[in-house]
Amino acid sequence: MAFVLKKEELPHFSKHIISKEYGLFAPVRKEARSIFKRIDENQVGEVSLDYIRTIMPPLKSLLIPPKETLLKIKDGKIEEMLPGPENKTAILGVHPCDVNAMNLLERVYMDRPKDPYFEARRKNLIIIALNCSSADEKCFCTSFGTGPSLEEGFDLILTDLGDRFLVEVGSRKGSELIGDFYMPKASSTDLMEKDETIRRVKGMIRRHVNTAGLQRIMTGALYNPIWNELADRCTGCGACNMVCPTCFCFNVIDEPELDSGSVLRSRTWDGCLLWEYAEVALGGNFRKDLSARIRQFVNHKMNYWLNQYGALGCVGCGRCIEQCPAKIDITSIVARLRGELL
Amino acid sequence: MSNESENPYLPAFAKVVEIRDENSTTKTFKLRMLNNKALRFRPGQFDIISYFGVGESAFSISSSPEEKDVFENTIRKVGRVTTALFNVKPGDILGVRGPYGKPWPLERVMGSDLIIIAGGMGLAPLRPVIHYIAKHRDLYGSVDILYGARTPGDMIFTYEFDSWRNIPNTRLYLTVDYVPPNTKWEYDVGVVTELLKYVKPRMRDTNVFVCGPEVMMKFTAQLLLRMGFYPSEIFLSLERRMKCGIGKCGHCQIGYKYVCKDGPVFNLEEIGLLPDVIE
Repeated sequence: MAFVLKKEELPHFSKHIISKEYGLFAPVRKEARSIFKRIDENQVGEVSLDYIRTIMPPLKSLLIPPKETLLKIKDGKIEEMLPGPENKTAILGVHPCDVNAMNLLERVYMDRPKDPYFEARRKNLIIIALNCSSADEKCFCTSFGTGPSLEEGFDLILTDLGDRFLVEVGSRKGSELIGDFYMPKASSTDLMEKDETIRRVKGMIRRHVNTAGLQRIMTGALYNPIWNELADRCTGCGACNMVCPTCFCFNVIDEPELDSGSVLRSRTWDGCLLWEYAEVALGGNFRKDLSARIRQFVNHKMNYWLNQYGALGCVGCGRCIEQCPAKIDITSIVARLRGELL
Repeated sequence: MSNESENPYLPAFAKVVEIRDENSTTKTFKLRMLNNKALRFRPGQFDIISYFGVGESAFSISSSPEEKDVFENTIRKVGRVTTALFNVKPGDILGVRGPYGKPWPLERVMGSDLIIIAGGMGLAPLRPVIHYIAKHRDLYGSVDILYGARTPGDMIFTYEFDSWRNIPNTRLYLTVDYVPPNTKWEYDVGVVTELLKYVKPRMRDTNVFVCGPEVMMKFTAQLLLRMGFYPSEIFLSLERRMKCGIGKCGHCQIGYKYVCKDGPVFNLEEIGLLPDVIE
């Protein structure tokens, strides 16, 4: 099923979503960039779906918040801080690479034993995705089949057709969300225009990772001098970990709440580029060299994920390339190891 | 996890029933789960202990699997959580999750001879093996236990050494790196691998269990390979940073393996080619 939503109707559609008791997250302009933020009824006019890439990965941030309290311990009792079913969340305007990254996170967090926090947040989430209508020189989703369009994993999906959006239904949940919100049915011209848009965006994507036989090449390059060379430039800041939509590692911390006498046990994002990541008792560190940490990051995405979860762990969103202060580029690392680039 | 619907991050409560001093920096905590829940574990598995307000840490379970209602963790004071645990007194309540991880392959090596090589705290996950063998002595061939520590005062479970020597067809060899002045020591001095000179293994009919500092395991594995052991006959228990124990937090990864769920006990064949391990 497909419908057409005029662009000037988008605020009404956003209001309609909020009226269904969803907390709505959508991209808005902030200075030169776009960020996802919680939108209330008065802010629906701010929603702007004309963006290529946000700095932070929106679905990871919603499903595994940067800091999330797991347990509250007080007077010998432990309370599980699981989000209840009333915390319904809708995300509007999320791109295919990010939806596919969420599908990868599901492989980690829904693998047994399931992570009940992720599961609860995922169940509460409705996804209104947005096919890409543009791309920049850092996009490389086509290498992994994770964009610029999306065939599944969404409840509704929009495509920008200039003066209007094509709205396609991907699930019963999506259909129920539309409910009584009137939109005219899409015509075959609308669908053809969508295909044309996707074709045009694919043509804009110039960056590629050749994934053919990649695992064998990466394993063969574990002792390549490239890792030491990259370590000379890398600052070990972990920005690549934080902005990566598939990086899933976390730390766990206990914090006493001084006024209530309870203890909060929370998890916070962690990253393999950070020095403390592989530290053990007595100052031992199994990846104390930056070269080993860079090798871990790149190999995890381009090699180990395949053994662990049956897919490569990169969706080609380009965030790590964009945020790296040392201009380290995972696609050129792979190209060099393949002998495709000097 | 036994129950699919349970929150895997939720600790159960256990009461500290006894605390033994092993040496000046190490204590063994005997725990009993509350609410009649027993911690059913196999030798080589670990648990995660909570000291609420300070945090969680993973520890090898060091007691006999034959003791059903209590279990032990042997803990060295090295960081925040362990320092907090050293303030615990019998009767106090701690949080416990687990058991986690793959145990020593006691079924797979049944009928063969065993060499158990431990360095320092590495004896903790091997003590359950020794107790298991003592209880099921006819299931295994000859057993040699090789144990090394920095000094005699750094050894753990010394009060059990005589009973281990009395297990039929079992020998215990001890060594230390050095003997401080005025310390009585009638055994070897040197690294633990040197104790292998006392062992005449029946090749292809002997398996080796190793646990200790990574550098000790590296040299031990190299020597065993030179002696003619196959990697498939060598098993190592690895230590890595762990925050969850269930393959989510990511910290314990070595290549594509998770130490918490694919290990901590690995066959050398499985990990021999992985990076960041006994390189």
